[in-house]
Amino acid sequence: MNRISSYKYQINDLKRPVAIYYFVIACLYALTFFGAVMTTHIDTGSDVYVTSSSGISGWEIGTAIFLFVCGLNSFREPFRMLIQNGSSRKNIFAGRFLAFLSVGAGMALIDTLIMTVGQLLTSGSKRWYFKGFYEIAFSRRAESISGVQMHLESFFLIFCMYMAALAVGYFITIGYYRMNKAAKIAVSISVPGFLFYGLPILDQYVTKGAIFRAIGKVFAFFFGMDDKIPYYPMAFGLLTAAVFLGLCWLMLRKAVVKD
Amino acid sequence: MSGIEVRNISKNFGNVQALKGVSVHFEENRIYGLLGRNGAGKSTLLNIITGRIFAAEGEVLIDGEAALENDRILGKIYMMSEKNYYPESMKVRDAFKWSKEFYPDFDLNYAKTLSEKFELNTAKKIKSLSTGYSSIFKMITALSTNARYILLDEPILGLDANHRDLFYKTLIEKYSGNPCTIIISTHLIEEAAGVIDHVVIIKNGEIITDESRDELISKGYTASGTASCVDSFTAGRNVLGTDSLGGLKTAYIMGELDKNNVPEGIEISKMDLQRLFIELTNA
Repeated sequence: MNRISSYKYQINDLKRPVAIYYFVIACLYALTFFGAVMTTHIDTGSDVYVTSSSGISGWEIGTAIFLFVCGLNSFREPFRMLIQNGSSRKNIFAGRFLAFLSVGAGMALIDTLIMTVGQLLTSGSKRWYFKGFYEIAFSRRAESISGVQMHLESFFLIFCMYMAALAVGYFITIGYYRMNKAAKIAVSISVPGFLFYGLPILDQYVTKGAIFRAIGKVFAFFFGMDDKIPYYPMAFGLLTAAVFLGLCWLMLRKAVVKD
Repeated sequence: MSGIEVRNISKNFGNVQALKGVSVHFEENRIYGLLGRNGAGKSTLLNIITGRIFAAEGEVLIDGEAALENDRILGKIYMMSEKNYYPESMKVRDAFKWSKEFYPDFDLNYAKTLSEKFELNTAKKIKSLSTGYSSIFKMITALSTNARYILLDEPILGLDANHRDLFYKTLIEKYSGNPCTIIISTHLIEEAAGVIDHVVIIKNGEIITDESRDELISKGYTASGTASCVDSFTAGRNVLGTDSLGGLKTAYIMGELDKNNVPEGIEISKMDLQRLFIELTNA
């Protein structure tokens, strides 16, 4: 019972931001549409000449960023509320995991449906295009497989990406919650400092570019760029989600209520 | 064993030892007063019982089962904290609805009735409640859960005299109609003395008193008189403390009193719980 209640509370906590997100997305689509109508054709009396094409592509990256932010905001308040209401940490985590699973799958489905409908509406149009992340990253494969397979693979790809984004966001917020003030300051300064200053300097002056080349290769491998197949990034996304959620559980099981 | 059994609990916060091997048994269907000075360890003990923080040593059993991370057991306890742990943007009525989700026995009608009695606007957001109304909201929630163990940490914080009076009346009514174990941690001992039937006093992280209110009060008495009379009377007795004013002296004494052997010039009176607490925790 308590696990279901924990899930209900935590999914409810995500409902409103998700609704606002899609409202904003709908407004952006409408703006894009009207903006494009106003600027992309010249009416010469009887004919319409298309001067450029307009459309939407790769918006799933926006959804992933949104879900990362959702993950960042998913701990402190629900944790206190659920502990107040007699939930154990394992139920808090189980409820959160199920909520992430539901939101990740739900938004992947919505985004896939938007892409499918968008593509149906714009098919054959020279003025409009509608491309999902999958078609951008794996364009040759998208052309070579059936539409059903493409949409299925696209769904699983973005679902894995969304789960990873949620898990990383959640991990960061629990990590910060567990740290004391000194550790928070140290991490806030040292991690960005190392990534944005230390690593580039080290790479440029010591390893002569070898570090970033290696990172690039690892990313190319895991994101499937080498073989142009989406299964590596799917596995990478799931693995990232599993590792970070595992770390989240390790931190959550000893988390205490802080004033 | 039914009730809450705290076994040898210790807890440190850095170098400060908040609880030192505390063992206490809160029996079923009684109202306990958990008393102690600021920083004595009352809230720490309640937070450990409800699993909000972890003990360094020891364990808590509720109805014979380990309470830590035990959902079935945690569903039997509700703790009203001094701090608010509900989302600040949540409305009071939504908090009641969510409480019903987690505590299926939560009585929404009772919560509504109490809200009307205390003039709590349930359409308000929790963050907009004053300190007093925030306490009222938490107290109403606690009493409406119908949990078997209700822990109230400073339940009357910020309440005016009328609301405090109403709170004690409501608590007694609730307890009479639906007996449960209630643990009240408070500083306003004189007021709470009327409702509690068992006293647990904690001092510097250790339990120094754990007995029924009446027994405890019957053990303490006050002897007043001239300083010399009081000094000779108190010789060999367990004196908790004394007050002097001019040539008059008052001694606060623990122990049995043989009323037939009170010398002339000594006036004996009962010690109230607050005075007893002050003397016990000052000693």
